[in-house]
Amino acid sequence: MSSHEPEENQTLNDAMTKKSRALFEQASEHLDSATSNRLRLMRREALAGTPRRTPYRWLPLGAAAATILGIGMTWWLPQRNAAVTPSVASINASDQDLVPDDDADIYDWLGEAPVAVSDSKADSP
Amino acid sequence: MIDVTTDAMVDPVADSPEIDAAAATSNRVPASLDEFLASVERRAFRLAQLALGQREDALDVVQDSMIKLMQYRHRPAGEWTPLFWSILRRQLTDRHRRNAVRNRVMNFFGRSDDAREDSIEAWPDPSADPARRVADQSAWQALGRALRALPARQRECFLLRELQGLSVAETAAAMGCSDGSVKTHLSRALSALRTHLEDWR
Repeated sequence: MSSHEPEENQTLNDAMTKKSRALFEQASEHLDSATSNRLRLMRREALAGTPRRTPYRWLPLGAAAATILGIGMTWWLPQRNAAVTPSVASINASDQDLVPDDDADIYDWLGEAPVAVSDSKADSP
Repeated sequence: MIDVTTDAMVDPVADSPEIDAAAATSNRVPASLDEFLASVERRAFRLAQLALGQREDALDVVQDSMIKLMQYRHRPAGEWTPLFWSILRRQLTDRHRRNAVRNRVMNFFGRSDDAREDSIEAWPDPSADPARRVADQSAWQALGRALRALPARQRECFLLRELQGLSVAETAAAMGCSDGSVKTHLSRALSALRTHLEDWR
């Protein structure tokens, strides 16, 4: 008996451990048949080297891969769209291409031509 | 039984005949791995169930431990016992960490994960009278709750040394610590359990 531990505590420890051990032995001895069968099956599979059947084993890996793919697509797609979208300068250049050089005189004439104004608008102040 | 260790702690059950008997059983060298696993699987399951409080988790841990032990099948049979309990202890630690993370996530989403703990199951001893079975079942559940409230090292020490009946040296080997640490952890575990299991007095 240690001088640091009161005798009463030592007695309580002994009683407690004895009861714990008795319960543990009893519980280990009397297992229900379903649990016993599962343990036996596990042992057989382990000894046979059968890989563990865990249906959701690859789920975390799949979720991680999907996340990485999603982030990659989010980063990559805007860049791709930006590459496809024409710049403002190129739009202006294409607008100029709409007016052929040969017909430039016609458009000058149209711009200087008098515009017909209706009577009602002409009379208004 | 005066046994003052370096930490001024005492091994409270150094002379216990029950421990000696269990240790003698565990020290018997098994003829095959099948025989060895058959001799420890029930105790391993009950030990894991006490530590985790959940039947399915306990079965998973025992299965993983059996599979991992297969990696050491070529070791001498005398080494299987400390190896198996060491593997089981690590599996329990991993499962505790995983469950702790799951609890945090569940709490973050405002859900309690306490429902995972097994409800009261019928005490599987058909020979005992009903009143005794209820009392034993209640005591078993109280023991599990008290053990799960202990710090991990103290819990492991109590389970391996007191319940499984490993020697101090075997417990130290399974836990990866010194003999003195085992005695210290065990003394603290008993002190805490005295408080948790006051109803047993």
